[in-house]
Amino acid sequence: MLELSWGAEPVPPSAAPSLDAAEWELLAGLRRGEEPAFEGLYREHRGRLYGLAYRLSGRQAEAEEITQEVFLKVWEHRAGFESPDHLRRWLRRVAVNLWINRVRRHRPAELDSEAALASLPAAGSPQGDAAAARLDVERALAALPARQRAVVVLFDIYGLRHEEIAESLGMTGGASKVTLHHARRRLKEILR
Amino acid sequence: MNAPRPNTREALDAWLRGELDAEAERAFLAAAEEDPELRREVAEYRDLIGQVRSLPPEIEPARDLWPGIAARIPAGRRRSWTWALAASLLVAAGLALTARQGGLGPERRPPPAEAVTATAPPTLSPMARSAYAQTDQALAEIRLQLRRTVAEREAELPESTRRLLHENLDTIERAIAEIEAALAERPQSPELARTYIAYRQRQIDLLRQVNRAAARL
Repeated sequence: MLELSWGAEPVPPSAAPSLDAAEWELLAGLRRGEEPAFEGLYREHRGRLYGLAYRLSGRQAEAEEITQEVFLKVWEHRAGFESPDHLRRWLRRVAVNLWINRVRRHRPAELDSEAALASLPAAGSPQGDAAAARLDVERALAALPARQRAVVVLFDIYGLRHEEIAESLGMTGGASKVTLHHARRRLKEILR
Repeated sequence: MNAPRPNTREALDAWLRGELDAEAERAFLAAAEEDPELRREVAEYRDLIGQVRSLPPEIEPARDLWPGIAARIPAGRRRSWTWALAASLLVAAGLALTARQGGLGPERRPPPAEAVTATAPPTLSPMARSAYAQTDQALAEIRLQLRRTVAEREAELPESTRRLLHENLDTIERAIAEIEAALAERPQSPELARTYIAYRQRQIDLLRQVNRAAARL
């Protein structure tokens, strides 16, 4: 799962933009075991990682635990990160793995069954503005079976390809495509 | 009457599975235009997919998770703060530069602003004002604390670090003014208000980091 290499200090590409260059610096510090660099990387990535964990789990406490657990694994494996992009992909993959392992271990029924829709307001309900529409979509996503939710979140919000989703969720690429299809149809029904 | 082409229903399924490449997608969407029922269905799905894709990938945790992480790092493995200050400054510079260039991606890009003279909050929408109220006090306190710390320790800093620090402080001030000016131009934009909140929060985090690093030199 971790796919880390343990080699010499990574070398940033010379034409990297400034923000990326700063991330290379932080990564180098992390590899040297410097906590401030680690904190810098945490601050840089926490929103995206927590967002992913929250959208996958639908639970604040679980998303916080996954986020912390992922970063503790980053520290554990700090010497192996070769580039900011490698770190980003690794963070995402480990977060998905941690989440799906939790569901399989503790709540396997959630993978393919829908969450209760009782708390889901009708689409276009009183608030009726863009924020309300967004909330409707968030709640509709949360109501999907966990596997469908994960595929649509990873494909549409985080831009993963089916092959990457399949690898993360332990399914075939074909199953990922079919699940996306089902998820979109179900979302449309929920939001109707 | 426009009879559905035999393959359009299959194409719709393939499109919903995310299987079509750009060219195939264009062909499918063009074909769908010729079938009113399919056109309506495609429009509904495009709207749905658009709504999902417009959700921000980043969500700020309700509390700072760093202390819980830091507490579980073995103390003997932590190293050097001197380097960290420079790294923090580089990050700050990178972010501020990105702000000026509008380079944080479509969801986080403030519109160009000509006026950069704002030093006090401009006229803001209620949402933006609320965001400003939540973040501005914290930022002001941190900025003050940072400046005090730096003033006390400035002589101990290497010349290059000192210069970098001052350049970054100036850059951050300019970036903040530009975002506020953009908000003044589009005070009703919830997206811009969200960008503003996220940006303020990131700047606060960076300043905190720089401040902590400077304090430990």
